[in-house]
Amino acid sequence: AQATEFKMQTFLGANASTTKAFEAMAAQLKEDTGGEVSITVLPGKAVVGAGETIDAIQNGLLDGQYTAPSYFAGKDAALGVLGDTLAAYPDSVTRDRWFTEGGGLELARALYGKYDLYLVCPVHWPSEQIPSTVEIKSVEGLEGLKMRAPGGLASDLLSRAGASLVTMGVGESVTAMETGVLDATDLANVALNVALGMHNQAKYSVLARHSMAVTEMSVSMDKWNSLSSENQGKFEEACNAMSAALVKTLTAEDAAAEAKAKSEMGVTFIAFGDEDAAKFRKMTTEVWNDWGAKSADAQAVVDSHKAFMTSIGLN
Amino acid sequence: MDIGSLTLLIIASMTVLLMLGVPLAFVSGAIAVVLTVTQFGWNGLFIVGSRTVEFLDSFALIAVPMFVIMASIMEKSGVARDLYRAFHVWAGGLRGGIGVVTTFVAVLLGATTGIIGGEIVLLGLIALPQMLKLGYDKKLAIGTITAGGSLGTMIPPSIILIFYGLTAEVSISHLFVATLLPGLMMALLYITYILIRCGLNPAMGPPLSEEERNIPLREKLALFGGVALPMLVAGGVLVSIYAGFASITESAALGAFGAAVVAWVRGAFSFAMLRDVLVQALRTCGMVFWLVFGTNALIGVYNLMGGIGFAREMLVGLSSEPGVILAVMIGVFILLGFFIDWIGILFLTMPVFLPTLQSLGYDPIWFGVVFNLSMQIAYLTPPFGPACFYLKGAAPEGIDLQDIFAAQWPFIGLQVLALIIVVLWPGLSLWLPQLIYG
Amino acid sequence: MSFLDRFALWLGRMTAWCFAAIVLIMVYEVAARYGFNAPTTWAHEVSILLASIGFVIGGAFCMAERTHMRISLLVDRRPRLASFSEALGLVAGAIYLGGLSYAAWRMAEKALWRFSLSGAWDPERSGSTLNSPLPGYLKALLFVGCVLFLLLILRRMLPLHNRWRLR
Ligand code: NA
Ligand code: NA
Repeated sequence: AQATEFKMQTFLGANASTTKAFEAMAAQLKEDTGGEVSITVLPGKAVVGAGETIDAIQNGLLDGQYTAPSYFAGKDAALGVLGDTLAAYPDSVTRDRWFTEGGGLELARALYGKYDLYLVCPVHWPSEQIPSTVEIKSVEGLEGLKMRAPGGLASDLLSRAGASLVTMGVGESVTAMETGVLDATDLANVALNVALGMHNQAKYSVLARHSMAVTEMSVSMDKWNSLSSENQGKFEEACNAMSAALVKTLTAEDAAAEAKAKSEMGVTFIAFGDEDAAKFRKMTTEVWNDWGAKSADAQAVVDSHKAFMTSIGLN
Repeated sequence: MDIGSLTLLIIASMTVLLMLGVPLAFVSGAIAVVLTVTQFGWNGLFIVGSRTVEFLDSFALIAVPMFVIMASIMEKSGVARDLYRAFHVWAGGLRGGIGVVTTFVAVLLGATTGIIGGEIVLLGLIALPQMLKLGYDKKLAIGTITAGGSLGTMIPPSIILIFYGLTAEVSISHLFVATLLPGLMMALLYITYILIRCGLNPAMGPPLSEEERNIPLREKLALFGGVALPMLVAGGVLVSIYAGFASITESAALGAFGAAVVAWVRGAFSFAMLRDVLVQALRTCGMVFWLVFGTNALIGVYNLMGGIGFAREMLVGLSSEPGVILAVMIGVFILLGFFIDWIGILFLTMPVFLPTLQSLGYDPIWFGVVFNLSMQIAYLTPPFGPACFYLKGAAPEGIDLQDIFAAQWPFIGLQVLALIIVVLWPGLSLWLPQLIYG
Repeated sequence: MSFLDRFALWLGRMTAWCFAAIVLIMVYEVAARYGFNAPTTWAHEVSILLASIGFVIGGAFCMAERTHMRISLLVDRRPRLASFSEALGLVAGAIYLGGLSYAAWRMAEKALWRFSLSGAWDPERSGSTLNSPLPGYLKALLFVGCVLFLLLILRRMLPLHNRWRLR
């Protein structure tokens, strides 16, 4: 059989754990398929910006992506809703059950199908943590706080909680935290926050569940269909294996970073309690109502989540 | 055609088109379009458009026109002239004294901006005409401004280090602190060079005559009175950033507003002046950003064609000696710096260099400084020398691009010297972050 | 100077005022955030749009002004190369701007020609708190700026073409 090459752009830089995991997966898949399926991993922004990868695939430049649907929130409200479940679920492991048990995967695949994309698998991404220079213990604590605005639905949630959002890039937010332009920032998981030096100034790290991003791997439908069903199976298997491996590596990295931040940098870790979780969950429903109204697809994703949450007793 | 031959073809056609006098704004853009269409068909042109829109959609860029406006107002309202007269009375006794002062100003400005461009235009509008009027050697004056102005990304804050930090996943604050001493050392090297050249040959940077200098102290101080307001504006920008009043880009806009207020207080503000100032900003951005659009598109196409993989192959099996591998990496930075922008170099090389670097046990913070310093060289080297382009946009009549490029070589030499020091003595970069952050 | 050149110069002088607007917006934004603890949601995206108008139109403006940079070393030494260099430059420009215009058109069309189920106009948005149609506008802006730039280049090719025909 002839070899099929997938040029795929990912969302983080060359040195990111996710990028390295992706490269390892590419090597494994190539071996498993006897060289029939090879993936060329392109780091974030190497070809086009994060919000333009779908268009690049449609124009035949890329063959796939490992990214976050949130980047396309402005293009399609449904992808925005799919991309971030905010405070709906207590943790991402529970949320990911929506894909497997709640019909989420079928729904997401149908949505991606509209862009001639095949969603190979959702990939694990840990909870995001807010580095802050002030102590935030509850939803009320966000009131009047100067924060960097994340993209997509998370901005809506934080605005509802009363935060004063300032739009700026990730890099600039580091300087802005040091000088005090910002009190807190939405960035990423603990490991990345610590690596980028966010906690040189910010002595608090807050788990508010303001954002629970989805990441996924998807490829051009034509290219996918050109694979033998055996190789399709191997591709999906490799994707799921990578996701499972990331659960381990990212969790370990976060734990190590947390230990380092506590002991060496004097960072205090705060997690919102049940009461605030419920408050944020209620606000999430309000955000969903707004975003669901934007399109039938978006509403379908919202409805599916609500149904699944009821079924597991979260509502 | 394989990627190696394509690489050679790109470099060759770029060189030929540049030498034949094709506008720089068209050279890489035209090559990118032809490559895209031949490799990926008409739909592939999406990459050229997409990367251009991506470039436009950046808040940091706005600092460039803001700085140009600030500079242009100061120049047109006579503030710049007064400022240099005041400097001259104080530093004029020294051979090359104004060159030294200009380098000091460049370092201060460098602390208020994270990107180059605005700062070079500012110095080009304000310092260059004054230095030429004072009889400074043209090449020395030009080189002082391009090299000094480039310090904008060497002295923190620095967009290059932000991007490097995000790519390498290392602390951006550590990078900022690490680059400070090497940046100041570069300024010191420039100052030493200016003093030596002018000391040996006073005609290159003539001191002020005894009579002109020997004015009563009160008059000397009075000269500063006239420039107190503009210095307050410059100081205000600095304070606004470091006291957490406004972000870097916002601070540049506040500076432009402050300069307008100063001009108004001095009675020099007019509609016609404002119009000219704004057009100057448009011209600078039109000239330089269009040139970057094309290069930026070319980088995307090249990455897609397998440029990153090609870079990896080049490095594999080269040598097992860490020192040799490091030297090759730096050589690649400098070589690519002749032709493309720092962001392109970052995308092309870091996916390959960073993993290699870590396996060799080098410190990624220190390597960030090495990269940053290599990009200082890239700013000045022809044919793609952004610092030179920005100065061309601000230089008085009769100074063309060749003059500007010709003036760079001694300063490039100093930069290479600085690079060698930073490479051989990592402590210079790593001592201060260790002291501050432990 | 052709009508097109004069038009591009006029347009450049008009769009330059966008930069003045940015200065005022930033002053307002900082005052609103620091003084009243109420940052705007719009200052950031509006500033990017205004600056982009200046940056994009600036390309055509410099073409009309003849201020785009070139390395004239060789042509200065061999003046006989001058008209060849000019023609080559225009061809390269036409290739680049032609390709970019085409790409920008396709992108702008896709980003702007969108309607929701109810038939309301639904341009591509930024996905931020403001969720403005910034990406759609940037793409349309790039197209307009590129076409003007391209027309200036083609207009300047006209006399070269005529001279070639007379030979
Ligand atoms: Na700086
Ligand atoms: Na260069």
